[in-house]
Amino acid sequence: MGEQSIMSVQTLKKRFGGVVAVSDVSFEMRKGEILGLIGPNGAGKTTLLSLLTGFLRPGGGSVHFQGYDITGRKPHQIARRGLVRTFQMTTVYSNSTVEHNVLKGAHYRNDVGLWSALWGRNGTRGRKERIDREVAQVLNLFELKEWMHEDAGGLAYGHQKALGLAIALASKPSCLLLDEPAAGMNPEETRWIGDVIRKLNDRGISILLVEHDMKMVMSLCDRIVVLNYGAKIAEGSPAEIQTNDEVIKAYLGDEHVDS
Amino acid sequence: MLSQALLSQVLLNALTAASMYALMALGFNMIFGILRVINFAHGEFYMLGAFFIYYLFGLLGVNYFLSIILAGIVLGLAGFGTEKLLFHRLRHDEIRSMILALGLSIALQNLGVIVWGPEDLSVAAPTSGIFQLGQVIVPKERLLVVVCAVITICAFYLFLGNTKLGLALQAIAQDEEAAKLQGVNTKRIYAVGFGMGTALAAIAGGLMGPIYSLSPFMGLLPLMKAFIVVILGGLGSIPGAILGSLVLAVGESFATTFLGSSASDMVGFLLVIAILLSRPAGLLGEKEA
Amino acid sequence: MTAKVAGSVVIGVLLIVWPLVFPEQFYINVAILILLSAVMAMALHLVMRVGYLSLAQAAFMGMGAYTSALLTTRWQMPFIVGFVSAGILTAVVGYLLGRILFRLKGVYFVLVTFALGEVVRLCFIAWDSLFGGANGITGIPKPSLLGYVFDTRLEFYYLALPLTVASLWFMCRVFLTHPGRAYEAINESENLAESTGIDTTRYKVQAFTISCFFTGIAGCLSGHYLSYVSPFAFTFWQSVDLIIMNVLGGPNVLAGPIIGAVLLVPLPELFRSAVEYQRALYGITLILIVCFLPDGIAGLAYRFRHKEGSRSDG
Repeated sequence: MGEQSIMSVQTLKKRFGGVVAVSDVSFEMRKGEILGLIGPNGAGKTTLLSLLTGFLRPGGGSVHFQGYDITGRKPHQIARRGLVRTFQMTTVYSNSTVEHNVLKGAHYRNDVGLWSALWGRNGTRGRKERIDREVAQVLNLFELKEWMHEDAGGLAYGHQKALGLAIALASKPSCLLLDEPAAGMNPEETRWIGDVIRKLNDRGISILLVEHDMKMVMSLCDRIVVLNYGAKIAEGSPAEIQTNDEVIKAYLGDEHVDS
Repeated sequence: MLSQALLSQVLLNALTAASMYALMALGFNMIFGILRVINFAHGEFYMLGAFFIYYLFGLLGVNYFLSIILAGIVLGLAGFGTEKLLFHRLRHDEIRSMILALGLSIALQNLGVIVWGPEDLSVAAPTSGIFQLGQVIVPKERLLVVVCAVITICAFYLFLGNTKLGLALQAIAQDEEAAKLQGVNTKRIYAVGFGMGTALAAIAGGLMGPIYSLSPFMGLLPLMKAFIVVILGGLGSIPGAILGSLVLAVGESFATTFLGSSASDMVGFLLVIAILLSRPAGLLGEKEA
Repeated sequence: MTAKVAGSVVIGVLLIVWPLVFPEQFYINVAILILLSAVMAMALHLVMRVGYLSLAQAAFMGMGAYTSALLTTRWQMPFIVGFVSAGILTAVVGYLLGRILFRLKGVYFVLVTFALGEVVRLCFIAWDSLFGGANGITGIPKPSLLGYVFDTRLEFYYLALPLTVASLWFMCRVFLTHPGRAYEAINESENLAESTGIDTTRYKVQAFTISCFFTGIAGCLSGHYLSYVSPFAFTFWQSVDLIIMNVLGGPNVLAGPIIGAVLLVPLPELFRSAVEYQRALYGITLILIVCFLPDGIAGLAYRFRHKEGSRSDG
């Protein structure tokens, strides 16, 4: 091993009423890796993501990110530490232009108090220019530049999902938690999103990827964690996971229920 | 000290009030549970129910029970139409739906003033006389109201639990998406839910009309009470609404005796604030649009 | 840009000059009421722009009015002390309440502010040793600054006008700068904003606090203008009127509440005899606007200017 850990999750728990949604999940995430998080529908993947990013309060256990205990912190505090999530559903500010969407993602980094803002001091000039440059870069990376002045609500579905990622990226995360970035996309768009994720990873951003598209998960991820009924049932390389009996059983069982 | 007779009298008054609160709260709850609309016009449907009785029973002499039932049906249909015509345009926009309800309340109330004037009117009671139970004097009209209210609530309860429509209503209130997946025609159900809610308010108004006086502004008080009861009993819960009504009515009659009426109202609202704030997880646990 | 500046200057000059040309008391009275309502409607607008609706605005108006009334009558303080205290006290109360109330979202927030408004109003009535009960407080002195008393309506107008303009300027700045962009983000999607590091609670409480401050000083001014305060001026319906002004004028731009105040405030003064017709009309207008004109009159003007007018809102 010897690789540096960026996030360490220990015996994380969550119940809703009487239902256990996440039970004693522990795993380590290494710096710079793409970690897959998979599991049948209702396995607790999104719940886990919300627990890690502070949108839900854990019922027990702990999350450490880059050495800081972030258990039970508020989402914005966690985001400011560099751990940023995306959403399955609400991904963009649909009444704002694409450019402003990305600017909102960078909002906190240019934080000034009410009084300074009122008197026209929008942060130091250097900081503002740097942010403008970064916004332009982000727009380029996601091939959104030509729609920059359009309302995000009017974009095609695929572009909206890309914009969701762009907003997250604008907040300068060191680790991104992506909740089904390819859901509802056609194979070509899925491939494109996969490429983008790879590019982000090459820039040193660690990525936790929740995804149903197995092809994408298997090709992108360095390691995979599998959840079923809120508990971790397996962890390992894509090859190991594909041959893991528990995992196969969980997925087959799920298919039986579905059909 | 309160004598036993006085105590019973207070409790009887509380019971009458509780039946009104419960009817109002059930309708209010139904509309909130299904449409996620805070129906600020709920009191106006109560008011319209009372005026319906004023004409049908008071002036035309139609049978009392028939008048009440007709009030429920007619204003239920009016509620159905209101939903179809107005509220369905703002589906899932809770804030604007609420503003719409406020507008509806203001419009109905003041149209009421235009038609009936601001002064109080009264309807003759359907029955008079008293029962004497030991030392306790029970006016028959109050007993009638309580009995009618209990019958209505039971009917409503049976309807929800035993008919296809009732079950569909409950399914939507619990989980809209799941209900849709099960093939419930949510569009129609919304309007039905709204109509049921307004029908209950109209029946409450019809029952109370002969006991209190009638005015276009009479709806505000029951609205406030429904609002408090619904928060006390839990949004969406039927037994909660009934229990909440009893607790509020009994609590109020004592609080009024000991604290005065402003203070007792204040206690109700303070309770509401405390409950809303102390259970944010429970209340916010639902999906936000 | 220059057209905008020129327009503002023209409007400014008109606002200053007209009472000298038409010095009728009636019009000046209506103008003062419009100014005060506009400030309160703008204050509510601030809360609406973070996506929340408060039904407790009348209560904050009352807090401002009673604070200053008590300070200037019972304790003989000068107007300026009452005025500043009204703003600060209301803002502090708003801040403290905001910290708690913004745990709730959507309709639950509205419900809790509704209950809060009622509690405060009932407080004014029930605690009569302090607030004078149903009679309220009378004999509130006219505003005065450094010995100069704003005795007449005209003088009061020239006091209220700069204060209104200052409030407008302040809120413009809020919307156009850093905090305003956070409000916009929160209004559109609170979760998304929070997930990218925006402290949504802080901004919501900030908007609420500023809103309370302006509502408080407007309430204070109205008390000094009428020279009495009564608990019946601070009912739930007063809060609803502020909502109507916003919805009618346009809930998404700062011009909205001003347009709303200009259109709605004169009505009761012009048609004193037919209150119910006017209120019924209010109600119907509100229904129609909320169903068919979600961006209010300001939105209509916007659509008119940008002919294509294809901004559809879900």
